[in-house]
Amino acid sequence: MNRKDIEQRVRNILFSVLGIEIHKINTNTSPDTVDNWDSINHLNLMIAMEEEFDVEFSQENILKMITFEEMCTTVEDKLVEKD
Amino acid sequence: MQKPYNYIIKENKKLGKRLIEENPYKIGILSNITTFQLNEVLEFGLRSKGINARVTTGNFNNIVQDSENVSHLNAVIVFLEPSNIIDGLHYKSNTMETEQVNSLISEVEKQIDFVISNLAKTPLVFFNRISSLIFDHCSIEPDTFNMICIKLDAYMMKRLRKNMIYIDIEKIIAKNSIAKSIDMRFYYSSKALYSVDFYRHYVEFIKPIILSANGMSKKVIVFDCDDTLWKGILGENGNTGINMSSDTPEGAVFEEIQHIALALKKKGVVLALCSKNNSDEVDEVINSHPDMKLMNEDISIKKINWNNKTENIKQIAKELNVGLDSLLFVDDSGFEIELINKTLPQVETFQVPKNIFDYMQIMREKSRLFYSIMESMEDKNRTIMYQQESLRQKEKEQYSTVDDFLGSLRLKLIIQKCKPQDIPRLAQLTQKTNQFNLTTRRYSESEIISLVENSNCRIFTLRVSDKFGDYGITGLCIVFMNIDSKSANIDTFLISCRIIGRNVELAFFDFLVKRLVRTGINTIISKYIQTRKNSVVRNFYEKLSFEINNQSKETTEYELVLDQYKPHNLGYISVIYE
Repeated sequence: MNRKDIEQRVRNILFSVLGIEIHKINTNTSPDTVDNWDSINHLNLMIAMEEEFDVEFSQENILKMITFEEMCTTVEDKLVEKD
Repeated sequence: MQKPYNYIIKENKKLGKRLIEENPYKIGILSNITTFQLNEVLEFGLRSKGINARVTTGNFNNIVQDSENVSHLNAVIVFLEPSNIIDGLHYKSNTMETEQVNSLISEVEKQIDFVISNLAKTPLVFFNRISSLIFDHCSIEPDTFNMICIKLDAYMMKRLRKNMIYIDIEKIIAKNSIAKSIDMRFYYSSKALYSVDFYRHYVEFIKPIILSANGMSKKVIVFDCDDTLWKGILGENGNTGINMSSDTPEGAVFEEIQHIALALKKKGVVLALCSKNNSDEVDEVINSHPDMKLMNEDISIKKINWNNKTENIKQIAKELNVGLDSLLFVDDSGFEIELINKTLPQVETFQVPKNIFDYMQIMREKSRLFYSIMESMEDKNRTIMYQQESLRQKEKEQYSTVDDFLGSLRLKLIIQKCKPQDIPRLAQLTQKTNQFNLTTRRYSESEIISLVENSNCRIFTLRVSDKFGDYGITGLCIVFMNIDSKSANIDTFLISCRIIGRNVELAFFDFLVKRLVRTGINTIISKYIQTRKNSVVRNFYEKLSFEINNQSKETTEYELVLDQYKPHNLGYISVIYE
């Protein structure tokens, strides 16, 4: 899975969970720019991401993954670890 | 097969938008842990079955407080998680003094009493088993935490009322495994103990109960024969070449399946056969095969012929007078299953698995679809009644007019005021009746009781019998009287689908008008509220010469001045008022 695929899938998850239109998602999309990205929805995002990529995030990962950029990078790292 | 959480959230939003106009079925979750993922999974599970569920969660760890504020809810789910009764009870309890433990137990018992009494009038309440399994499944000896859970669970279970259902979550955890049912990361960071996976299984587990409360449980199971009720193909191998004997491993599977079917029948489920075979050959198996467990009297209806199964299944539903969505169809042929899925999507189906030894467990799982929330005496007699219905259908073919047929039935109506012993049955009728139901108002037993106590309210029950037997209470009319304005308002008018098609509703209405006139009423106000299932009564009031007062998309309001009413005076129905 390359970076492009990962970004595409993360965009889809942000769309499903938070309802953000795909084309409005950019590297800085974060709880600061999205009203309903609250703690409950953050957990929803994490659960959806873990299922989507079949990975498990650490507590540190979860706290750090609060921008689109960080989400994609963390997933990329996890997938490399798995290989 | 399982839907990803991502998909559930997305689809649930879509379903929510589509269903927004209908009356929501409101479910409240009271919990002392974080359970918000259950909202999405539960809403999705119910919405995809056509129930417009709205799930809300009470305040965190406010079970006691929130239990006072549930009057708007149709159902409540209580998640009393013992490990969070006090923060970290699962480990702290094991170092507590006995005295401290005992006072904690009696404190929680008081809370349980309070919550149970507050929820006594909610139509449907779920209480989860108070279980220590997640935390003590490794310990050889019971610990204090386990002892606390056992005591509280026994205390709670003994006090649950009729409207409260005990959900043994240990079964759900066992099926799914402990490791997959919980997520300690999220328990320690957000008090969210259970995983989405657990909630998926939890929803599957309780869904049949909620479906039943909405009058949507399955009522009929339709079996194919070859390789479904017995091993082998009757037409090719003959009576002696088929196997359903516990003497062989494969035969034992089919023996067990037949026993499961019989147990379902005993609970009131109707059994039907639909098979491509020569009907005399199948009859011979049923009548004379030594290992056949299902007897003629167990099977309410048989369609053994070479016609297409879509037509046969439609016919089965028609003859039994049930909706297609009341049917479960079992067949070993992928072709037949696919055909029914495509042509009759309302029918639930499952294919006999390739590995035949998985068959029994799947059958047990599917049996839950027949869960009935109120199993009354009426239910137990249902198979007999459906059989009589088939008999009646057969007679019907021989009369030249329907009136001939109705005339020969010797129909008798007994109309009574509501008696205390009728209350469960009346609640059940409002819950289960979907087709001949003008307003589809669902009432719990406690709601019926408060109607009985309301001095402006009249409840008339209808008991129907004919020469084939007694149908029991199968009709209900609830009327609110306004003596000052000399008008009456029909809140509920329903007839069970078992007696549709006999004009008893007309005789019932004749009676009602006569009765109301006698009490000084001169106008009836009524309503038709459209649902997906009650189109059969769309023009009921028009036919009774009611005038339309007001009309919106789903609701039509009517009025009838009683001296305009033309009674039907059906000579073939005798009416007795007691």
